[in-house]
Amino acid sequence: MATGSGAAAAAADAEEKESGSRMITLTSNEGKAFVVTEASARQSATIRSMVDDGGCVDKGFPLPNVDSKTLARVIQYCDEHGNKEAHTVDERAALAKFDKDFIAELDADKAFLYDVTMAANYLHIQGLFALTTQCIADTIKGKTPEEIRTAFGIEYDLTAQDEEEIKEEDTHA
Amino acid sequence: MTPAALHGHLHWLQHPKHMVAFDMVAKTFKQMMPPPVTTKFFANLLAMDKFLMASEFMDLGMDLWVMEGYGAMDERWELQHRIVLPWQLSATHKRPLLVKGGDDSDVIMGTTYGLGVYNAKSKTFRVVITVKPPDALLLSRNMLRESLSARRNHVDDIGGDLVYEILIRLPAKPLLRSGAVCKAWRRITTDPAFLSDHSRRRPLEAVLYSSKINLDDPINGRRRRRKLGFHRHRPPLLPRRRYAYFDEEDEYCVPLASCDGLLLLRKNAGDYAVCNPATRRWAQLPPPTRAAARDVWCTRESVFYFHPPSGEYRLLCHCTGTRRSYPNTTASYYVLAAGGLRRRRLGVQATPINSPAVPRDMSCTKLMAPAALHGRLHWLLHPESGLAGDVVAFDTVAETFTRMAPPPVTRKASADLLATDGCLMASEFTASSSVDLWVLDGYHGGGGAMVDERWCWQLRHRVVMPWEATISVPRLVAGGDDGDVILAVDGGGLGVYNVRSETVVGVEGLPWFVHRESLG
Repeated sequence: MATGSGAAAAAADAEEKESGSRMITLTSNEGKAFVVTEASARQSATIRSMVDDGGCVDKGFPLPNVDSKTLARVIQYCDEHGNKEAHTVDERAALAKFDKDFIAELDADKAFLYDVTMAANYLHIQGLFALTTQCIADTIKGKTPEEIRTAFGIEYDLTAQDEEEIKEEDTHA
Repeated sequence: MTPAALHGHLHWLQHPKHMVAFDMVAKTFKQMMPPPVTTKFFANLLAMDKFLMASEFMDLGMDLWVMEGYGAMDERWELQHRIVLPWQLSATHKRPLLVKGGDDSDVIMGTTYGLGVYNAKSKTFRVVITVKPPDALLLSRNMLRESLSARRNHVDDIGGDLVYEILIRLPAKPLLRSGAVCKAWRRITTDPAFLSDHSRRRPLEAVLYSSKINLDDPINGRRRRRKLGFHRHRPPLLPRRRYAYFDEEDEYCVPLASCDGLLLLRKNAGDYAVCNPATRRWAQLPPPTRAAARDVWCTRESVFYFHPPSGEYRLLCHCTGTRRSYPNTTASYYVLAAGGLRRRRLGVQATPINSPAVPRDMSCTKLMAPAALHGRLHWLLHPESGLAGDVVAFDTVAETFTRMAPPPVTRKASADLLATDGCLMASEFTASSSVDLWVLDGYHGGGGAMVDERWCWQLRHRVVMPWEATISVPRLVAGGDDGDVILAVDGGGLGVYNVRSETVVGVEGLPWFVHRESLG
């Protein structure tokens, strides 16, 4: 029994060592295949758990909720964060600069920004999700409720009672 | 003194002629050359830009000394900055409240009169806020929580509502505006769970509590209103103030407790309000005594807690009085729910405050700060402690009391109960400037009034405090996250002892207003 589990642990260990160099295929909803390193794919908690559960690595991962354009952009982020080291101050600064440029580019195209946010949410990529949601939150910051409604295409549906409450809050503001 | 951390050492100025450094790796103390300050009471050590600095408040301002050649043979102190403060410092009031090193060469300094930032690179001083007596500066629990560690990471808990995740990242004012966008957004921004989550993620804040005449108010112009401001206290210190107003009553208004980012304030005797600083919403609590009946002569706020089944924030009050039908003194517990109209009497036994069974040395502040663990709140000293001086536990769901075996501490006045690392602990400041930590072994909350005989108190840690001062009044011992125990002494410093790594670390910034969370 003891030797059995020992052998299994050794095998898992060997697999662990090998995993750094493995390649993983991600397929968009349009059927386009993207080959990425495992380190890059592990940025996604969703894929990480599927890889760790074993099995389907060879077959690749179909992502029915993500289109090719979005997936390409998401992979760009994952490659940068998964394949590069972030130990020294310089390396971290380089990553921070990458994030800044990455989000600035996304910010220019709001619809695409939402797509990437949705994909980051679906794939559970914590860093990317924090980056994009913060970017959206920043656009809300300086806006009036009316401007927010216009920007996000939201319909006004507040009741008279809600309005009363909001007025009350305003007098305290 | 609050230690300054630099080059793996913690530094304390214990006396104008005596400075010590503690090596955090080797765990050894060594003597260092003290800065040429005249009195340690107005002096602070701070670490900034990889330099050790010493500040001293003088009559007209503040001196900043910098240690040159740290660790080298020719290490020496040089007076590099002499800052004129815009506030006149009188002899009686010149005790500095706060001097901290910030980022980018900022030195944050505060006196009773205000808060400002001095930048050592540009040699400029910027006033953040000026306070006029009798106003006071206070620090919120966030100040303490966040300064202890940047421990709150939300890894792998994303998902769910996207709007939720976006709104949670907004500061208070835009959040308030977002509540006026549509129904769905309003539902999120007014949800108590969202608001407590939001307040937990907010950066450090200093609570400014002041009373000013508000002339900007067109409706109530020239009427005195008190405001409770929440000041962002993170470099760069921008003068961004948020105030929550309430009409001034005759009495002062004191923050009593906080729970999930909500503040409980007492405006007058028996007049309580709950304030959410993020949304500036106020909710009144019903009075603990009926206006007509003058039967209650002593009210003690017992605890402010969240009641999960109802989703209400509640204040438990212990009231002692005389009822017309009984000649003797009786007591009751009343539950006051935020927004509720009437007090509700709790069907539990209550001991009158003048009963010999009520501990004499029970402190009101400690009563409002119980140790929260396994859905129960625990007190070392409580009106229901009984003659045996038991630990009292309150189940926040069932709203019942249970007595438990007390820890074998010598003096309960210098002892505290705290919850950390999933354990109930008792701390005691001993005479030899150390803190004993007792752990209740095998305690897991248990159901209802069950008391398990197998629970027993074990002395697990004896923490030697880095301050040599005689500890007369322990000010705060609280359980933090990840096995941290927060220690503070009056006139001493603030430190964190970690029960897992068994190490003490000093924390910068001495808070003078700290609220422990009622429910962890």
